[in-house]
Amino acid sequence: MDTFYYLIQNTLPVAIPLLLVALGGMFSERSGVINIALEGIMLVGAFFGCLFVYFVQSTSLDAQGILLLGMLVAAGAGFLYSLLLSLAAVTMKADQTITGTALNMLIPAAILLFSKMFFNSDGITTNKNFYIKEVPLLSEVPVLGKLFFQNTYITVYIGIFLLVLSAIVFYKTKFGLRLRACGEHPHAADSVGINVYFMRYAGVSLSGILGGIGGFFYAVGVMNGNTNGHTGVAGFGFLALAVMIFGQWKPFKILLAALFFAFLRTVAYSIALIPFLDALNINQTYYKMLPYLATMVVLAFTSKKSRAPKAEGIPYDKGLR
Amino acid sequence: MQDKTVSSSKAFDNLKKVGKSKGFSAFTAALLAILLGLIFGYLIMRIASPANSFLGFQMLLIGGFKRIGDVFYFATPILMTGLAVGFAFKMGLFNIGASGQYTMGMFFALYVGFMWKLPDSIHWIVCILAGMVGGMLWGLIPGIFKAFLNVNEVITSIMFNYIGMYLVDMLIQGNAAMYISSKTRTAYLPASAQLPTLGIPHSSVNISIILAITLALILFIVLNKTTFGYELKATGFNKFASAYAGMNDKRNIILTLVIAGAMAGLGGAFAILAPSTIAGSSMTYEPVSVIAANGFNGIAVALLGNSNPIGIIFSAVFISHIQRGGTLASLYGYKPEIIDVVIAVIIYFSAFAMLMNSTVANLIKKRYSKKQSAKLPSADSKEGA
Repeated sequence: MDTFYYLIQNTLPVAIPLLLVALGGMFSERSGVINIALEGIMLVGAFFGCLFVYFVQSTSLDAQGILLLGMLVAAGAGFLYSLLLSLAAVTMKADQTITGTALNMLIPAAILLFSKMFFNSDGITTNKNFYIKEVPLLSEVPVLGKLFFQNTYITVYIGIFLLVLSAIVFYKTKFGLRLRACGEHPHAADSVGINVYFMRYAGVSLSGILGGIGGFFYAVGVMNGNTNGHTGVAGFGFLALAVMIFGQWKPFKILLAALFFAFLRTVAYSIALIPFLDALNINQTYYKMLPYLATMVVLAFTSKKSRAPKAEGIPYDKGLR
Repeated sequence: MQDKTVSSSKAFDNLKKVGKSKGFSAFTAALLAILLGLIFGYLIMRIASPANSFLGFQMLLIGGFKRIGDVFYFATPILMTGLAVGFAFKMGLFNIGASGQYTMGMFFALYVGFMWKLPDSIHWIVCILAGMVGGMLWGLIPGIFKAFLNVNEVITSIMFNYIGMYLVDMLIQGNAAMYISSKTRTAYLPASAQLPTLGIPHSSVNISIILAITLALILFIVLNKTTFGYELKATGFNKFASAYAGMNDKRNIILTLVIAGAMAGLGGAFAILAPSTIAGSSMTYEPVSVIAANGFNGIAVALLGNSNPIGIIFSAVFISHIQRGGTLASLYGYKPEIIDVVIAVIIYFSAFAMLMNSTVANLIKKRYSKKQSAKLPSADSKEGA
């Protein structure tokens, strides 16, 4: 049972970045822009978040307060970086995949350059501890307390809050409805007076904000508050895209998909603690490949009846009706 | 006076014809993207260390000429991955998996190099072919997923980049004949498995650059002179129309990605089978769980070359040239990563360079025609007088 608690406690901080970034991808794609730059946006968020933590860690600020402020910094950085994508993909009507790839390539190189110049290292190392041993009162609750309120990060609760918020914005507001219309049939949306360019900018910017936060939460919850240009976010941005497709571009299905992938990854990295898997004596690298292989299997089964937004990937041109 | 304007407008018409041709606008678009990328790089150098920025930038631009052999050695793998990306582009497929195909090609070539005992004269040829097979395998999988299961090739090939990287690192680390754990690198290949060198002192340039250019020319012919190439381009323009015309798009998708994979795999083989500058040694591979950068540089090469095999030859040499220059700029205290930044900026701009290009061209045209219309009445008035 302890192993089970351990696995769940470790799955959640991994699932939250995937969840947030996949939600970001959902906003962007449902508005009609393929956002393959999520990997780069995550890394931007992780880097600027950690940079902020690095500069304030010696002050007397409370660890959780620093985390919240770092989250805002990361969101801002992700938002600004995503503007580069909207500029190229919406205003300039460039190929969305290529632009995204360029943005993904730019940021690790820029981080390495910057860190080598100013820190003489490959990235940023912080020493603030964001870990929460137990939440007062709630951790006493039987079973649930152990699962969700011990050995965790505040990022888990923020992530769930942002999920609910996203779902409300997405399904219960005028804005959400208009956004979705732009991804399905932009010309129809335009004909009833919706500004397609603005909605696409909004979709990509939301993905920038959520992607930036997701990246920072990855750095906090998975990398212990560090980030570097070599490993970056280890393909989490791309995994998030797979999570989004597996979740069929819908918020709560995305949550389930994120939990599934995060659980696989946690298992892969804690083989030694699971007696029956440890006894099999399989090279650990196979388990590291598992999330990626699982992605392929899942996509193979879900893509045939894919509910992808119809207009995604096609730059909107007013002249084409 | 009038004659002059007539002849100049004729020259302008000719210029317009050249200017309107697709190849020319792709060329100027690439130049524009490169220019913007380089300006960005210079700005970063100014910010990083203003004192040396001019010398450093100069080194970045012309440093490659001091290492011509190396420029061609390092151009070979990115020429191949560039072909891998560009060939698939022609069909509207984005082969971001060139990295994984490259890594697999490298591993297959290494495996045959170390484990198979073959006559000296054919050993290296078999190694190259093995590399090609490795790449084809990693191109085949996304092809099947795309053709039969409708999975986006971008996601598949990204996943297979990771799977390939972990797989190869594990297989190499687990093989005592290939891996020297104390050095955390692979051992030197036997001499028979190494590619014949071109004999330029202080560089690793070898026969593979000639093979690579030959392959680019072959691909050019395949694309422009064969039915398969025609179908491929037609599918890239409009896949519904080409399916309606009876082209077998499933077969073409798989074939295209397999050929693309073969190119990237050959790139990996060419890179790892090269003899190094120290006599008797060869290139080695260090398994560090990082995805091969040459695959992504191939995207830059393909975009700059407008996915045209001939253009890709030149863009590969250019990218390799500024990479060497960037390495040499470290003499002035600049980190070589600056080149990766410049390359990424070049790709970003080349994604919409065509559009910028036509905007600039229109501006110039407007200016010119304004001048012309301003001139004409003055010529008339002179004649009247």
